[in-house]
Amino acid sequence: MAKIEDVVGRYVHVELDGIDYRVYYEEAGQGIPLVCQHTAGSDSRQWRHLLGDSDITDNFRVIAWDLPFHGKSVPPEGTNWWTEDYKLEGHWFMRFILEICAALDAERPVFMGCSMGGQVAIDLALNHPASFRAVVGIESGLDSGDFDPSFFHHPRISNANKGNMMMSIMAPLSPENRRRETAWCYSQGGPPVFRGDLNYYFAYDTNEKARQINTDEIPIYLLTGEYDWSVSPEMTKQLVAEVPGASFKTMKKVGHFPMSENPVVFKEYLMPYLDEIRGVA
Amino acid sequence: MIQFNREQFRDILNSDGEFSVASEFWETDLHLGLGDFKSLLKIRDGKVIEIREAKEIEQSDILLTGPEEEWKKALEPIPKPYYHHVFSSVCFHDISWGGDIEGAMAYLGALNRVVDLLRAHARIS
Repeated sequence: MAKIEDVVGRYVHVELDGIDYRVYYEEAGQGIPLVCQHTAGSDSRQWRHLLGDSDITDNFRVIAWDLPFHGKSVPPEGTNWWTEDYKLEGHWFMRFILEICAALDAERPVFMGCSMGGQVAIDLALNHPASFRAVVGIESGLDSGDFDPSFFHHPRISNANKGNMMMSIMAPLSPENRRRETAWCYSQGGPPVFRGDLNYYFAYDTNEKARQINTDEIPIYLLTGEYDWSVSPEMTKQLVAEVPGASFKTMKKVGHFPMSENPVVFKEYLMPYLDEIRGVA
Repeated sequence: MIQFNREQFRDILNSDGEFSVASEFWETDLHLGLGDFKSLLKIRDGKVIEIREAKEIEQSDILLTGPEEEWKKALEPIPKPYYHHVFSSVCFHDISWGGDIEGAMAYLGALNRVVDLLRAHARIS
């Protein structure tokens, strides 16, 4: 008998500003909704280990989507999207997350995101605290620092560069096949998408606002890998200094993509947070 | 001191599957300066055709250099954070690159593989 996983993939239509987005998502499990946002330039495959882990899906309804233009969520019908430079904007990003959660009947979910997903976790906590039970920010900071992303969409540099660059923010101690898979997914993105997502990532700046977050209203859990140079543990500590009620751990021996580069180590750090969210810690 | 047998290293690179895939079509002269141990790697159509001693920084397309103490950290079996990849070593430590940066980015996987293989084959004393 063939091995068939419990993860189910479907499409949901999300309407935003009159545009119909056909969005691919995967889900598994039951219980508290746990919605997962992938990193810039990648897709929901990053969460496949979480979706397939019964220690998590026994208590959580895990949902992971591909943002429009990512993975199996092709660009929307009815727009000449090819005539505009793809750019992710923060206000649209947050509204999309609220809309897809509503469309999937994920009521007051736990939001978990990595990298740009980790930054939007903080933006959601600031702007929509009542809509979420808690946020888990992976590789979150007060801001995203400075970096010139022009090489990420360049006619003389192939998509392989994206994967190779991502190898630089993963830990050498993470299993090589997991790191290579993470990089592989990066090399499959639509050419302008990674750089376009970084439009939001580098515009993200909560230096003047993060202290407004009330962690009694929305608990914040943070995890950052020690080998991540793009959002270093020091950058997350700066966020924690502004949001003292946030829980934070530096993840040893992992980098920027703990859920896909080293799911075993990631789980060791994540489970205590999920137990606390469930009230069984 | 850090050194490697240049002829052997040329053969190691040319027989390495990952380097061969990542270096396809690569045409470059790479100056590799491991402290005082300086080499020029001539790469044509993805193959290393020659590695020879380079006394000083000479005409080359891409330069990858650094003091010996920094390279020793980068070439440890499990490097400390940010020494583990050529790009983060350049951005956050005292390894430097220069010349054709666009070409270095286009062949980042091959360039990092050179360092990976040095990690396995360079003699450090």
